[in-house]
Amino acid sequence: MTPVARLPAVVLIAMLIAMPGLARAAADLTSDTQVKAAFLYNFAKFAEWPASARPLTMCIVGDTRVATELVKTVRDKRLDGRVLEVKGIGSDEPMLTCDVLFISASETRSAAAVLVTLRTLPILTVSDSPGFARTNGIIELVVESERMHFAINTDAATRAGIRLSSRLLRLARIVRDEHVY
Amino acid sequence: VKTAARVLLLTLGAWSASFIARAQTKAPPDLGSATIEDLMNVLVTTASRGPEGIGSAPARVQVVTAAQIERRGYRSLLDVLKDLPDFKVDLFGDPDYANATLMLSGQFLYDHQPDLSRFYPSDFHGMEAQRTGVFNTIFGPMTSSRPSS
Repeated sequence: MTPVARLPAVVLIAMLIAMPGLARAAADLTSDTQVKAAFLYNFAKFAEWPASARPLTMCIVGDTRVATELVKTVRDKRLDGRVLEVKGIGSDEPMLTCDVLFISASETRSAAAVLVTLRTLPILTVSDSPGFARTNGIIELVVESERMHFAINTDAATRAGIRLSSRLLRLARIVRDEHVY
Repeated sequence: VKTAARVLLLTLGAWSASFIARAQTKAPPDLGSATIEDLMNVLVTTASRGPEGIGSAPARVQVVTAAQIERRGYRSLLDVLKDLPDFKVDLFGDPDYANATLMLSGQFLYDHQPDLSRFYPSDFHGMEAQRTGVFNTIFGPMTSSRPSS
């Protein structure tokens, strides 16, 4: 058999060896928007706001894909008896009724001034913008080594009057105003 | 040699089909009931479909909604672009001919060229923002701005 005639067999064997790994790699990746939505729901699960009977409102500024995913994630769910509501809003819209406020990285600049005014209100602010937890934000989502992690500014959470569970804090990278521990 | 090429082609076709089928048929994970510890172990992919750090992602998407277009009083797509973070738009000469320079973070995207349709939908400048509805901007090496209904 000539080398050319052997080529298909060699290629076939190589592909059979590579296929399971490649298929698994392609199938196992999950979109970051799905993961962000799931994290937002979990943050709400492990946060405690001052008592309220109104729906727990989760506002999304900027990335509408996260809002779409979050609607799917929280469908038919309640937290402490409160109905969950998801709202997509613009960075210049009122945010006072939000309990969780996700601001996508593209919008943090336009929302920066508003964030300062919200810092003492019980609004759990979250963003995927680098440095968010050190600039008036409470939780910052970070992707490292293809996995999503989060940093929490405990000073910002205290200022906002939101209690975060020890389980959440244990998993987070803790950021303090001006200092990282 | 012809037979070998045919066999190779068939093999490639079968392999590609099976690879795509396997990658697509797997049900998406139910993240709604995942614990936070589980979530921290999920491999994530970003808008570019390849796994990468969020800080180094080559694309981010910004959406300007119809409500924002109306509230902010945008009249053309250039008005929308001018208001986007990191964009700088300069108009030269007769604006009807859409000679423009677009800069993103100090880099020239488009330098004083009359034919914006090379990068943007035709009649870009004259397009009314209100009629366009939602306006998506994808930032990154494949930077583009395009209206969607």
